[in-house]
Amino acid sequence: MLSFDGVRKSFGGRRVLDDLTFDVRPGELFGFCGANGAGKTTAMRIALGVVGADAGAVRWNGAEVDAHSRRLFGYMPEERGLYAKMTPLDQLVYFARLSGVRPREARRRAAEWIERLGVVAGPKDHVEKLSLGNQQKVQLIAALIHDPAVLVLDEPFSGLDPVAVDAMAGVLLQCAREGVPVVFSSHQLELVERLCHRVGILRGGRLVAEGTVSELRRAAGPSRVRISVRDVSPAWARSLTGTRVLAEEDGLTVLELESDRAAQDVLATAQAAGRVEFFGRQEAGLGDIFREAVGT
Amino acid sequence: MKRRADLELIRVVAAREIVRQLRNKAFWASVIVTTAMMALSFALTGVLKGDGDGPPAVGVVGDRSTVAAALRTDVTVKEYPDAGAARTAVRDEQVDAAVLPGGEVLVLRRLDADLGRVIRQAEQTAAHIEQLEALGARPGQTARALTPPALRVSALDVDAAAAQERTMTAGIGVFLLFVLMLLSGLGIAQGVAEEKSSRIVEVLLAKVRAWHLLTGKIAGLGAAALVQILLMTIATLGAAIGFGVLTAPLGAIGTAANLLLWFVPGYVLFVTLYAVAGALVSRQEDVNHVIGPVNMLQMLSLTGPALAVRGGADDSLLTVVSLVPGLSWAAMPVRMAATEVPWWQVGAAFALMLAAIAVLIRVGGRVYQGGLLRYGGIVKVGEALRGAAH
Repeated sequence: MLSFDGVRKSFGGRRVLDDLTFDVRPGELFGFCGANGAGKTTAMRIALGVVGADAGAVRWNGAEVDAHSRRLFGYMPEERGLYAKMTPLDQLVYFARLSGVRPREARRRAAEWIERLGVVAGPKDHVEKLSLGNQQKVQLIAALIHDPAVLVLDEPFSGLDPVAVDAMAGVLLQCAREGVPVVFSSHQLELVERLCHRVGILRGGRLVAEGTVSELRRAAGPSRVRISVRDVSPAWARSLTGTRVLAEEDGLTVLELESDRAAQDVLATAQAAGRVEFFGRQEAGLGDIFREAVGT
Repeated sequence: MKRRADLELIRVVAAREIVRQLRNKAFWASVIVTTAMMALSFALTGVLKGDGDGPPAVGVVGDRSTVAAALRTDVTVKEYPDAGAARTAVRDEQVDAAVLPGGEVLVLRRLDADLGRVIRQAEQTAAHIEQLEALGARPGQTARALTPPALRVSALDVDAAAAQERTMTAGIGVFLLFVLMLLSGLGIAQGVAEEKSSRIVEVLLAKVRAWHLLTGKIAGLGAAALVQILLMTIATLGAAIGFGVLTAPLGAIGTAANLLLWFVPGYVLFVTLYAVAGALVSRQEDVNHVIGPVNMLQMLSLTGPALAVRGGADDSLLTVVSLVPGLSWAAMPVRMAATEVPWWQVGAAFALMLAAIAVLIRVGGRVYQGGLLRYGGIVKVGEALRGAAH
């Protein structure tokens, strides 16, 4: 398990991380969300030892992460970095060697990953000749080539086309299935909602929300229902108790409920009043939860 | 175990640098161009030396045995049956001048002043002999009487020529190493800046420590530079011996070995400075701004060889320069080639150099580490040092 335990960091008097505490469990995909400058990248850099924490610690299976355990981590930084004048294969072998993989094995794995992710490049093509999407794939392989025990990815989906997004998502899910804790940051909230087991929302260096999307939804406020009833007076919903009308448009009414019991009352009242054409729960999306959490 | 892991990481970083260098066309071009230039200069030296080295040759026409005999003590004499043959020999540069029967001297362009004096003296001697013989003197006696005995020369410093040759070899060697160090330094500074500007450094620092990177780079580029030096030395010494420029090849090889011994710590010192400078910039275009002071310091290290080659081997300034870390790598081996240096000075210079490297790696390593992840223009050294503390 990867744990952030009361991590604090300031740059030049400006607090960037404030008592950041959360866990990423084995086999879990953890989505790290936050507005720009919320501290996501700094948190990830601290986990990888690229930047030191002012206080607190990042732990791996209970022990503070050190240079040795860090070599087991796979990391993809937000700012992509590859050697422009090296072939993808040589580059990946080099990164694997730095993580302690034997040369022959490194070469085998690099070739296998290049094939698996479909990196399009000639055997002598330098990275600078590759398309951005292919460079991104090489960058992901660099994070995966040593069979990491933990995966930390900063904005892995940015700049990818939908096909590449699916390929990347597939790889992350596969890693999680193999028991690897995966934490990644993203601004693509629908993707985070679709993929992640749990989500953490960061605001001003503090974790303001954390849990599964359903948990966050519940925590975000009362549930809502959408109902469409024919042959009733337009203001039929106003008389309902335990509810609040949020919107009425074109025969479709959106109601905020004080409790789950109220949903049944609403349906019964509507059926008594007219012909119910549609009745359903309106789920708050991660985007709504996020906006609420970060206060925009 | 930890030490082995550290060494392995350094080896992997170093191996990448070596392969990168050996695959670099500029690397091989500099070996070939330098060697070719040296070989060409030796060839020219050999040709020029060949021209002026031996005694001049003078052709003598007709029955001028007395003149020929008088000339033989100073020049090589070739006899020709007629003026036509002598004229052809002068034109073909087989002789520097030809003495014709009437006393006329034939040359291709102009008569060398010394050769002119020799010919005039030979003509005078021949005239005196002929006059004495006409007065009845016996031929053998007159020649002996009028031919001065050979000069007996005693040299007080027979080693001077060898020392001069050694000094010149060392001077040229230091200059070549200086250029190589400059190229390596520029290479490492650009390499570090490239890793920083392309953000690879973030991936690297997640896997290795900054000092692994720094040490690996220095070792790798150093090994590549040594390959370059070895190839250049073999080719250059081979050419020098082949063209006969070196009269004491063994001495030159000894000088080259000593140069290399001093080059290694000098290289480590300067290349570390270049690497640290490279870590302070965020864009490769800014590399030239930050390496300026390192360039200046490196230029200063040519002071020692310049003083020694100019003939001031016993100069007190040279003594001081050959002891100062950063300057001693170039000054001391040239000084050692030129003159006898007290052993304690050699030891002190080396120890000071090693101490300076130890301090530099400690402080420079921190600046390097602190500079690598700071972006925006040129990072100040103090800021990088403070950054490394976090």
